[in-house]
Amino acid sequence: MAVERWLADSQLVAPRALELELTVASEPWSGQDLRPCLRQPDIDLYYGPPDGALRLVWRDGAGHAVVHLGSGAAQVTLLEHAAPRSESWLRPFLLLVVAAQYRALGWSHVHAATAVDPRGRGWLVAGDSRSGKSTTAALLASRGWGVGTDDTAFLVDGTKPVAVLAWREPIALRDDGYRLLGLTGGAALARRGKTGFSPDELGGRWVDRVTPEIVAIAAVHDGPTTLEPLRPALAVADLLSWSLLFLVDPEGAQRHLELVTRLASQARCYRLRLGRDIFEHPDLLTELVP
Amino acid sequence: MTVRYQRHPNVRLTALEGEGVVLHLDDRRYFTVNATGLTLLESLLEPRTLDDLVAALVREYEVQPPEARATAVAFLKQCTERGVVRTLEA
Repeated sequence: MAVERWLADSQLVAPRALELELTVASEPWSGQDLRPCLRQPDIDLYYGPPDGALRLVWRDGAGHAVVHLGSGAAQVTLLEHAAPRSESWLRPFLLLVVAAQYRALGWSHVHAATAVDPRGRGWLVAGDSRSGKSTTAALLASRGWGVGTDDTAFLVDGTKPVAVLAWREPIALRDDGYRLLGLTGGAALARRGKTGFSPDELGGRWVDRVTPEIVAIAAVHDGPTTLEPLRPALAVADLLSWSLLFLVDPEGAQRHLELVTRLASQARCYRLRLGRDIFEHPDLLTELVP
Repeated sequence: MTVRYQRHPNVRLTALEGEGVVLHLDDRRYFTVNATGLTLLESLLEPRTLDDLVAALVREYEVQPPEARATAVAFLKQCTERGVVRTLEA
């Protein structure tokens, strides 16, 4: 039930059903996978021939999954002790499994915030977990922008121009972002050590789908906020940094590269350096992009 | 013996606004190349000799063969060192 609710809350409706089989086991997976491995902070991903299936092994031993990238079917096994604590594995583990499943739909995961400004322009702001995406998303929501996601976006293949779907979940603020924005309230996201807000709590609204006209590669810095034009080829290289799943799908890598290229071609690309001055001038982004 | 060169099969390439973005799946590295590099890497989808590559540059750009050869040699050296291009000897 927790999984069904979590999937429904994401508001992402796949155009066809994807099989997700969830099993609870008493023993951790003890097999061996000799294929190439992409190590992520908590999860090892084994990929490539002979069968092309993606194997995700949660390194604390509590979860294991196999995703068939062609069909999108996934088999997930959780250990008995972990299964009842869904908050411990839904986002940290199952979200990556689901993102891998979506590759079968031509959806490519990218760590990015999506938003629509008051003039109706779509924005995609990509960057790592300390790049200011969430704080910016919250700030923009407080100025009436539409927000799709603060971190989990999916580029949709087959759309012209490229559209981006949002995995809906609360904008997750660390304490420093929470203080800088002068917020109160919100929902405690205990496991992530953050506080969650929906855009409408902040004065904005949810948007499910964004067609980016502006792509910004974000990072925080000590100086004033700047937005400098970025050559599209460099934007593509940066976007690849924030969409690592394609690396474990060699068959789909060219498709992903072309998708990201189309995105960078359709949009104006910028290097966004976020300074604290943006909190004093919250409409700065729209002023910087005429 | 004729030496031919070819893009590594695990290299992916995309072009935009005259530049290329190169992705090597084996070591998960990516980088950009300028228009000349893009021309050479697009040509290297099939096995090519150095003379083939020089001809491609002369055809595409207003450049004399000696300069094109020097450019191609330098580019091939970088790309073979990075594993982006492999040498086929036959």
